[in-house]
Amino acid sequence: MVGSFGRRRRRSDGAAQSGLGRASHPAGGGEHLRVDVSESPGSARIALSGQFDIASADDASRALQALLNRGLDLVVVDLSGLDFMDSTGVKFLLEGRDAARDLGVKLSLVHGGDPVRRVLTVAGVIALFDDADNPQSFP
Amino acid sequence: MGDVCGKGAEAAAVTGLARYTLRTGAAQVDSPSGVLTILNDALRHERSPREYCTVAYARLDHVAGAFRLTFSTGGHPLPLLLRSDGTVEHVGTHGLLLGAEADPQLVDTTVDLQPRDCIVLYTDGITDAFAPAHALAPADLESLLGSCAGSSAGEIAERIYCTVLDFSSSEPRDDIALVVLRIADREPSQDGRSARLGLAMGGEAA
Repeated sequence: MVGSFGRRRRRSDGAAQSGLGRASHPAGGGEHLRVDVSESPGSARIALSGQFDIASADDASRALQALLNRGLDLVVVDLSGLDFMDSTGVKFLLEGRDAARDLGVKLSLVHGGDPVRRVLTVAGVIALFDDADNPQSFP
Repeated sequence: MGDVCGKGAEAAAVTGLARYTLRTGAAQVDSPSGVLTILNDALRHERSPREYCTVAYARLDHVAGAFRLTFSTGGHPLPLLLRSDGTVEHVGTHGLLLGAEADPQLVDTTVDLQPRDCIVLYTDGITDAFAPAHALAPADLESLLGSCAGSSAGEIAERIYCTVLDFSSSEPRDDIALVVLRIADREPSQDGRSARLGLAMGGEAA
């Protein structure tokens, strides 16, 4: 037997739904990501906090690319302030990794809390990045 | 079951590439990991700038009256296995997001399915549609599925789907897709083996 569902919403509270319209942003939105950059000689840290989704990916990518272009030895991407990250965050990290490799910059990660670590684990990408908290774990 | 990173025309193009590559790949190789590796190659050779997608690819074999599921994942949530006694576990090994590396080293996992066992494939929209305010952690999803033992595939799909959508009246932030496969508990009937499988699927676009 094959059944299908979807395109209809049942809610215990009986709230009226308006189909697939996107009049307002859902829980996320670009205004929820904060990007802080700090520098020391030869290295920089880009700290992301709040929520990383498709609405905020461009801001983060521009900030990271600008840092990578500075000719630094090391750039650390700190995800510990994020309380949400989706697969666009993984894409951001992989693009940053490729750009860093092309420019000869070492890129390492601070993985952050459980929600972010889970996304990285499911995507299978944790082992691709140097762990800034534990640099000895990678050659 | 798959999920493309991103939205809009680029994502639609990747979805198209993935669909026809999986169809042709499945005719070339037997193993799910081999099929996904073909898709990984296609993503790396045909998409620039680089695009990524996640897939859980499974094949169900029916041999000598028994069902056997062989599957592989690339960057995708692992399948959930609900046994007839109510025990639940995520099964398999996390594989690398497709498109990320030239050699993703994907692996296959095999599960023998008994009558009334159930397999659930889902996208991360199930867990994250209303995150971070209302996230359905993988352990919560396991508990929910565990309470569904004995239900039909359609009932299980509805239960999970409604649980997620009941979190909030706002629009989900991500697409939601779900496939539930259940081995029936009755003997083969006159009208063939389809009577021994229950299948439910559906989804919601963000």
